[in-house]
Amino acid sequence: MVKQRLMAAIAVLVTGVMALAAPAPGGDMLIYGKSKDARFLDPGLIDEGNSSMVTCQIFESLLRYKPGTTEIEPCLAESLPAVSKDGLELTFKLRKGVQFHDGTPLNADAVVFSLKRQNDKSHPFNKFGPWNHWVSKGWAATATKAGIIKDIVKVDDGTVKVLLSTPDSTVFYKFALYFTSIVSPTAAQKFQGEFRKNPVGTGPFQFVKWQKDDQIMLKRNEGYWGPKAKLAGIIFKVLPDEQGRIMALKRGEADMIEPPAPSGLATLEADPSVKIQQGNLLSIGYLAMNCETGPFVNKQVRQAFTHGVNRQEILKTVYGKMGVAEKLPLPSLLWGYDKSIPDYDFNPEKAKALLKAAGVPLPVKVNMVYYQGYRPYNPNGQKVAEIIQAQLKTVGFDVSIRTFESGTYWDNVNAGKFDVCGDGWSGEADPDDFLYGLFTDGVENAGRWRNKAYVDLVTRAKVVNGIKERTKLYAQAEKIFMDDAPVLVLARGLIFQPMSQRVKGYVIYPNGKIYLSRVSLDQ
Amino acid sequence: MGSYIAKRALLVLPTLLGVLTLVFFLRFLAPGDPAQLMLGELATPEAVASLRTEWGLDRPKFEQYRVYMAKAARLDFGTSYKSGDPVSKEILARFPATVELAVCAIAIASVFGVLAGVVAATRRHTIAEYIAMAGSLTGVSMPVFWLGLVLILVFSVNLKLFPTGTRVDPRIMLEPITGFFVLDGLVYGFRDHDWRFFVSAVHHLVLPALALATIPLAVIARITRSSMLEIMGQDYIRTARAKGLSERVVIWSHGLRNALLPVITIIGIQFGYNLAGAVLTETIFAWPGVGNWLYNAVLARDYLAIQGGVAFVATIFILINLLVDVMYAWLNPRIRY
Repeated sequence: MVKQRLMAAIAVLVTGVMALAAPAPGGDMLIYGKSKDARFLDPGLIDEGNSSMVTCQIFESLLRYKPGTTEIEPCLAESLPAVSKDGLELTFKLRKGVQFHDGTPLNADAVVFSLKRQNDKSHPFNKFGPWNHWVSKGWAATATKAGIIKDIVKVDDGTVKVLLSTPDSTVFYKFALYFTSIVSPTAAQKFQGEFRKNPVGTGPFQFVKWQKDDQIMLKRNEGYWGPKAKLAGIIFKVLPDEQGRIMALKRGEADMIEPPAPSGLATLEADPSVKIQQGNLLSIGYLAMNCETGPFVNKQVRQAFTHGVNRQEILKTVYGKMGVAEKLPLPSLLWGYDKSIPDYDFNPEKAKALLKAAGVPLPVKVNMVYYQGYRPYNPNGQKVAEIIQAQLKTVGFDVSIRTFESGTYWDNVNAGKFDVCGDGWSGEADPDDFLYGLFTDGVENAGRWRNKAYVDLVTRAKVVNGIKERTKLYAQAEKIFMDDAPVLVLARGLIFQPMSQRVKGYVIYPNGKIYLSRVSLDQ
Repeated sequence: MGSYIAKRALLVLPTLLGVLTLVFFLRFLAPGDPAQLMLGELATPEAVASLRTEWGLDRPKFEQYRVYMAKAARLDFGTSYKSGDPVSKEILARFPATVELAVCAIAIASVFGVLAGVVAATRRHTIAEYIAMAGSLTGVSMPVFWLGLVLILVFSVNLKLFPTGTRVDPRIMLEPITGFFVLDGLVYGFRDHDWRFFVSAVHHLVLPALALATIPLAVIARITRSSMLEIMGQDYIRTARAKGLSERVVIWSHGLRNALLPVITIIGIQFGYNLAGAVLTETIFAWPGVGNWLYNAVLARDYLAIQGGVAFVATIFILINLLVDVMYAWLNPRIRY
């Protein structure tokens, strides 16, 4: 009798627990599982995906990408900017009837506030920095160079003019980037330094609350100027462990999660409640050779290195379907990519001959460093390094490989303590972001490759107007690049976005940013 | 008793000073520049230098130490480089999550650990003893990280009995009140007759608490068994039996009470470990506690957060040990130093 009662009690308990176990009906709240909490929610301050995936729902810029493409269209501006004949002025007419989430109107004062606070040292909001983007994009003056943006001025309530110190065709697309988002000056002045935790923009979603290291909640902006979001809101949930995120998605506790490493994707592919949407990503994975010190100062040694690596084997073994072969440090999706330039073939004999011609003592000792963790443009840095080490042994290179945790890795790379380092870039829809951004001044030029002719060409390509003219200059620059071989280009990464079968309407953007206003959830 | 407590309490401050000093100077051995890490790969050398000056990192080490210790004396542990918030505020925001998990885990570990230890000690050479001891050996051998994933896979994904992680179902739109979600749930339940928060909080607590309880449970079981074996061999136990007392009274009233003394010490230490931040458990179960926060601070070279976090953890540990020593002395008046 006691036993029967005990069994009955256990059955009731298990049934009760199972009833509790089903996730609460979500309605139209989408839950996105991410690995880390946002750092800040002020788009001018952030430079990492964990923050930008949230701010991209709350804020908008004057321009934006057309959904799923690399083309630019107007957003808070009612049309693309008018460019003066001398190329020194961009005039933006603002869209009418747009309001911030706090009910204040979008106007020229708001645009000037949002942009000038990042650069003007006398601006009362400038102290709440650091505002890195203006410097990294060359907009702000540094000790050695004048800034491209001379000033941003209000013409009238509905018109803003951007004054350049020198013509620059690349300024245009940067007004679609998140750091140029327009923020509510009223809210910024109310919250002061705390605005970074209390964001107010014009976007399809507005901020509700942030529980640190736990979740950020947004709700639909009912007063949005465009088509209202289909979701009632979004919860960005912090789920630090990748396996935990995968299981949350399988269980229905998350509707979308950050793209996992390849092994995680394989688990999800087998689950009928999950689908994986594939898309292109403007990213390039490569190995940068130190052109300042060490064996790769010699061009022939660099060329030998490139001929000696079987990149097809790396692509097959490491990337699988996660990457597409590339030969230039520019995704082949973008204009400006010259298909006609011949690539380096895998040719160990040619590599040996180049080393002999270079007259360097053999074997050539190479200190190679790789970063840990998965990146869409390099799923497994360690495996890539090991394959290269084995391949180059027969050619005449003695490659030692090392890794460090992230902070130390980039310290060492920035200090030039390597011969070859793993690197990559996920960029924007303009060749300038890759060809100029990665191989001229600045910390992005990890290998310190300084070729004057190349720099001249990509600098001129910034100034000339028109894709046709710029493409010609980029083609010449790419020829120089290919001949000099400062990096070994591996592949372009692809995005594999896992989501519940309930999720409809998600569009993958090639710049890797996440926009959820078109997404809906099947009930 | 009073002088005993006073002597133990006096040792707290120098211990804490030692820990703070050690942590402060150890960070100079770690590679990486926090300013560079904070500003990211795009930062210019000028921006990095400027931030280092703003944070005082360019000052001599001993001057930084002096400033830091002076602030620490006022319980001001500075501002987190990463978030810009006061370190003490960051810790206090996350501490309820850690306490809730640690209390639940130690309660499970204590109850079942003592039970297993008593069973193992009083049913020698039976299947019960073998199960209890094999179970405890398995428990202490299993990595928490792995155990957590197995629990999620079995009970969440396959059997669909429990959630995979976090503290409460995010779709329940109720605000936390105290930060202790089980308590908050009780408030909502009794005040607003809305029991969803309470039920969800308890439901979410089960798996992480089980995972975190496994190692302490195993340790407590083994210590309880050893202690009970020693006690049950004592003359007074034989006397109690000879007097005709039931075996249940002999074991639980006479045996266990005295056997608990070393067990209490172990429970205290294990509780301290749990409070210090069960990093792996918090990561697997997405539990926003102190451990996870401190781990991220280390990766980000957020020195002030690391120093503040370690000081906090050390204080908790020291206070728990003090409490355990006091309890020990209270339970056994023969113990005095």
